[in-house]
Amino acid sequence: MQASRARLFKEYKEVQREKVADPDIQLVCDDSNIFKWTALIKGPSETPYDGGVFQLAFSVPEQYPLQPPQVRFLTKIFHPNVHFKTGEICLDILKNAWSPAWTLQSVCRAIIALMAHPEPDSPLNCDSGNLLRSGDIRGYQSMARMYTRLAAMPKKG
Amino acid sequence: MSSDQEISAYGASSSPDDTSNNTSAILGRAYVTLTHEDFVDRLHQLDQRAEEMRSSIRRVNEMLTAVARLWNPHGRLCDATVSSYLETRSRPSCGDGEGALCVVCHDELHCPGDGMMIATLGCGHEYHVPCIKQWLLRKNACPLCRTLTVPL
Repeated sequence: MQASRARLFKEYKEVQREKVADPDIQLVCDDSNIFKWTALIKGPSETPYDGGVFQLAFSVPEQYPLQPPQVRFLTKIFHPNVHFKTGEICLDILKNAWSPAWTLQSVCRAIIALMAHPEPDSPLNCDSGNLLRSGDIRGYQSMARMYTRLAAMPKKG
Repeated sequence: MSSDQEISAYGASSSPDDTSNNTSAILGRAYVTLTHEDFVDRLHQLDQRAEEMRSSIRRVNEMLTAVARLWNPHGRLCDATVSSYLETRSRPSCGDGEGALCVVCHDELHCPGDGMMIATLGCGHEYHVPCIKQWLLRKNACPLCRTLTVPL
């Protein structure tokens, strides 16, 4: 408990220091609870998520960093490895490939990389996975782009 | 042997007006009569057998851990294995690490005077001993490069 709190506090200070270094990630800690964080990440360019801003919710366990944080998308996203309803993410480093060398910031970077390189063979969103596996890249891209516009972009007034 | 030393194996001497020389318990149709010494003797035997069983459970557990390690070398390690491995690879922090961090706690690796021990794993990566120990109890892999830490 004490160790996880100390480590999260260190990460908090690192995030404040490096705020400018990574403009694609904005990581914020809950005011009253250091075990709850949210992040805003920019959809990577040259993907159907380009131009969108996606919100992630982090829930950090007391055994952190020996156990991975729980991360899910709060913003709706059409991606083979993200559950369409719950936002749950299928990513090895958040499960059995976790290592304490990861930080909340680097987890965000890994999620951005996952957005750019979907893994259709371990899908949480079968529709999206099937489109990619059947080679219908265009179908996948247009669905993903549509949901990016609907859910991850500011409404045009 | 006086009567007050004689005890029924089934605690039947609870009634205070029991004046018989041999306290006996009735189990079905059989009379079971035990002297105090018999009783203690049997307790010892039971104790011994329980200890034998416990030690065979320990042996089976050790065997299972060994088999599990063959199956999954990167799996968790037991306390004794981690401690003996780290003992040979630790040294006190020296204070010339040029601000390197221990990636587990994100504290400075070499902080002179805090009495913290540093462990260098086989792959060359360095951690605070208590930090890396906690991790190796969960997974036998270097947090930075995933190299198998304690060899089979």
